[in-house]
Formats: sequence, C-alpha cells, structure tokens
Amino acid sequence: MQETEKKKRGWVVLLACGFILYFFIAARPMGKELSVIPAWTVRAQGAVGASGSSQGEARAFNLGDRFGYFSPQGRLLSSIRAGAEDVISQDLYGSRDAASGKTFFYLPTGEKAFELSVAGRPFFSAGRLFLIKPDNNGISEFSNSGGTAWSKDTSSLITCFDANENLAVIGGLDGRLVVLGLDGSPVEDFSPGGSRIPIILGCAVSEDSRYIAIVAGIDRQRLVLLERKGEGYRISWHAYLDTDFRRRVFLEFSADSRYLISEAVGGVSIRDLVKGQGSYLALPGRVAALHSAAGDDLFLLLSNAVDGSYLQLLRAPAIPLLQAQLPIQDPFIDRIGRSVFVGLADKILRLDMGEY
Amino acid sequence: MKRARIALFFCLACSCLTFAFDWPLDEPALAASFGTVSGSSFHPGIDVRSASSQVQAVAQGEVIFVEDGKGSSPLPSSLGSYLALYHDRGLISVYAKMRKGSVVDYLKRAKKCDILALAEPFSGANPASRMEFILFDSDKRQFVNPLLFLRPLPDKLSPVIRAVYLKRDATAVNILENRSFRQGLFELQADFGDPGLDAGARTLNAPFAVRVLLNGSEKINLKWDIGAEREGELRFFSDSGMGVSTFSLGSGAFRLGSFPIPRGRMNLQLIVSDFSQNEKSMSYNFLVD
Repeated sequence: MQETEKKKRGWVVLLACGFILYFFIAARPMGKELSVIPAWTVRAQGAVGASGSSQGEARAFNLGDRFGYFSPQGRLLSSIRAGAEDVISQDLYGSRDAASGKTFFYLPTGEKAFELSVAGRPFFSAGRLFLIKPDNNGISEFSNSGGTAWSKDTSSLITCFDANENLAVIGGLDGRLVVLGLDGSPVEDFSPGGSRIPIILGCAVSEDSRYIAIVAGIDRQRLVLLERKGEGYRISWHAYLDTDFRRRVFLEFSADSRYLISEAVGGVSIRDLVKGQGSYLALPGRVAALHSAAGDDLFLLLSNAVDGSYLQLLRAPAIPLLQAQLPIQDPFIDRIGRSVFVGLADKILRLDMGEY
Repeated sequence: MKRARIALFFCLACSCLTFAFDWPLDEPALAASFGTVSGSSFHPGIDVRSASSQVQAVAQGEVIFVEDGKGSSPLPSSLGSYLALYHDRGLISVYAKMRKGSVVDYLKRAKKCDILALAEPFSGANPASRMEFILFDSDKRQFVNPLLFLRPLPDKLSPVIRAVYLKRDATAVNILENRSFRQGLFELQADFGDPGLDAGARTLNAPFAVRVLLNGSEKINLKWDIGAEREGELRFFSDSGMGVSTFSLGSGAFRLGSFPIPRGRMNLQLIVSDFSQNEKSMSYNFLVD
C-alpha cells in the first residue's frame, strides 16, 4: 500500500516538475507589435526664409501650391509658393516663368543655380533633371549646373518614363521601349508585340538596373519583365493580364529590387522576383505611389479615391497591417527608413514606425 | 441626268477617300502648320483654332490612350491633357492641349464626330479655342501631315520669301546683293514661310513644298509630308531627312540643300507653295565664272 502511495507521489512530483519545465522550455517571447507613433508636426508655411538651410539635411516637400524643404528633425527650412509647372528635388527646385518660357533653378538655400530656356517641361526623376520636349516626343537631360547632358527625340509620343541613377526608360505610343544610358546612348530598344494594338502603358527600372518591367498592348495587355543579360536585356517572364487600361499604368519596383508592384483591376499585383510568386492586394481607389526602403519589408502604398486618399501599410509581399484615410488627393509622402513624412493641407507630420 | 448623278457619286467617293477625316473642331482655322520650326524642334502636328471648343473624333476609332493628369507619374505632359484614337491601317489621331478634366475617359470606341474633350480657351478671345492635332502612322513610325487627310480650308494668302542666300565655304551672300559668283559647291539658304491666318505675321509657318530650279533643272524638292525619328532626331523631308539642327539656322532662315553651280549665266528659281496650292516664286539671275 505504501509502495503504491510512493509511486503516486513520484508521478505527481514528476508531472509538476515537467509542468514547470515546460514553461521554461516551451516559452516563446511575445510577437512584436507594429506601432506608428507621431513624432512631430510642423506648419509648412510661415515666416521661414530660404536662408539658413543647409543642403545636407534638407528634405524636399511639395504640397501642390507650396513647396520647400524641411529637416527630418521637424524644422521648416524653406517654404515657397509653387506654380503648376514648378518642380523640386532634394538638390534643386525650379520655378517656371510663363512669360519668358524659362525655368529658374535654385539650391535649397535659395541661391540661384542656373536657368533653362529650352522649350518643354522640366521634371526630376531619381534625382536627375530631365525635360520633356514641347510635343511629348523627346527627352533631354541636364546636369546639376544646367548643361545639356543629352537630348533625344523619340519615334512617337512618350507615354511613360522611369529612371534610376544609371538608366532612363522611355515607352511610346507606338509600342516601343527605349533604354538609354547615362550619356543618352541606347542600351536597349524593344517592341514587345503580342497584342492587337502595340503601345507601352507603363514602364519601370529597378534600382540595381537588373530588371525593367513594362505593361504593354491593347487586346491583350501584357506585363513583361526584362532581365539584364550581358550588355542588353532579355525577357525573363511575362504574363497576359485581364486588364484593359487605356492610360498610363502604375508600375514600380521596391527599393531592394525584389518586388514588382503593378496596377491591377481594383488594386495591385505584387510579384516576388526571387520566389517567382505573385500576390494581389485590393486597394480603395487607384494606386498612386509606393514608398519602400531597402532592407525593410514594410511597404507604404498610396491610392487615390473619390473620397480622398488611402495610405496602406503592408508587410511584403501583401500582408495588410494598417490603413489610414487622408482627406486630400495625392498628399505629399516621403520616407527615410521607418520614418514617414506626410503632407496634409499646410502641415507636415512625421510618423515613426516601430515594432515593440 | 443619270450621267451627272454617276459623276457626282464618283466625285463624292473620291473626296471621301482622299479626305477621309473631318476636322477636330468646327469652323476650323489653321494656326500652326506641320513642320513649323519652333525653338529647337519641328512641330509634328498642326494647331487649330475655332470659335467652337468641342473637340470631335476626326473618324471612327478606338481610344488607346488618355492623359488626364490624374496619374501620379513624375512625367509631366507638354501636350497637357490629350487623347489618342487608333484608326484603320495603324493611323493614330491625337487631340492635345485639351481643357483639364474635360477629356472623356469612359469611351472605348468613338464614332466620327463624337465629342472627345473641350479645347483650351485661347487668350486673344476670337476665335476662342485652340488645340493641337497630331496624326501618327504607327506601322511606319512616322508623323504625317494631317492636312493630307483633312478637307482643305480656304486660304488666299500666298507664302512669303524674305531672303535667299548662297553660301560657299564660311560665307553666306544674299543673292540680291551679289550678281556674280565663282563656280563650286554652294549651300542654298532661304528665309521663307507661310503667313497662315495673318498676312502680317512675323513668325511664319512651314509651307507644304519648296522647289529649287537651276536653269530649269530641279535641284531641291522638299515636302512637309512626314517626319520620322532617325538616330534620336526627328527628321523631315525623306528617310535620311534633315533634323531641325541641320535645317534651321535659328535666324528664321533655313538650309535647303547643297548643289554644284557650274560656270555661265544662271537662273535660280525658288518656288514655295502651301497646301492650298498658293505659290510664291522668286527668280534670280547671276553670273558664275
């Protein structure tokens, strides 16, 4: 009888020990929760002169009728009234004088840099200064001192454009894609075909120049991915789409060149170029911008709808985390790492994303 | 009577075949012609003015591209809001510089005369609207002079020839100021154009054709019918063509071409004509030794 009691007690002790050990062995730390914390808000107009800003810390903002520079720490460095054809980058801003047709460029400090008296409309892409010619049938690039780096006419009207630090890709109404190097020399000349009507509706080049993507054709529309092979590019993947766009289509690579985000009906398609897998994410309205950062799997997608715009935070490839509705169309959005800067009406605010 | 009807039918059929397109604006006036040099580029379309602002399809076609300024691309449009229609045989008509927000974005197919957009108001009040119309042949990848497809407009103003120069080595000489030259290869330069709507216009439009005859023999024949990109440059007049940097001298004068002029008494005739067959001809006599 005593033997049985002892055995029972031993089992109970063993079970208790096992139970206690389980808590230590099987315990896992709790998953981190993503939080978005407001850091600061600054009014984007007021008594701030252009002087006093240093180029190193300046971040450009553009609120439509007003643009300028601010510091990531929340100091407004300059705020200038902007016309519809005025342009701004991190290094320069350009003010167009309709009467003379000239665009005057200034440093973020407000110091005049140079003027362009060439007909057409200047714009910045990847920090480079380009100009689209008066009939949308050519592109010129200018140095940061205003000299013409190169100038090219295209075979038809330009329907889309993208650039990185080394390349410029130009798509046309005639279904032709031209890729130009830094000096404007042709790197690739490609006409995808495969559709009843050839046209390029969207084009993008990855940061590392490894990939170029295009949405081309009408009846049927195709998404074509070109990959660098030697000196040129070859098709590495393509898919027929169930879309029937008759306008410019949103197409962009993530900053780490791993994902391709393309506009789809009612949302976006996100393709993981490493795994070769595609995902779909429904969005309210029409996708307008992607904000990604190298080495971070958090994406910010901006879409414009009738009732305002929507900012969607997602984990790559397409796991929605947060969504915010903003009361205006096309708000200013910028991102440095996990700090997001949002421009609303006359304010800029900084939001910090963190996992705690 | 029957013969007359048949003849009328053939006339109408021929005119429909030749001028297949309607004008994009009612009661149109040609404000800038195809190939007019503006700054450092050829104009690959025409500018049309009208009292009406309703822009209509020139023929039945399929909408293939609408630029409405609603996208968020950093690429601006120098043509403003525009719409492109795809027609038979790869022809694309482009209706540009439309009033923002007025371009229809629900149409997939348009019938002839369907309203597509509203033209921008033109400062200068009368006529009230102005737009740019471009015709592009996507099969041949070339811009086409729209006047070749549109009903001719009444035009009584003849082209203008302001000056003619013969250039040899680095010296260009006004042909009226010098009656004798030494034989050799000469480049012919001329300041000419079409006044368009305004007889007193300082800025001239491109004409439709220029011919140069030397002692009755044709040396130069240029037509503003097509423009195509070659080696990164929009060129006019033929396949190898001339880019604007070659053609335009910047001062309003243009390089027409080079040809050798032998010894003897020479008669040089410059004939400039517009699309309505109005012609301006100037004849110059000089001695070459």
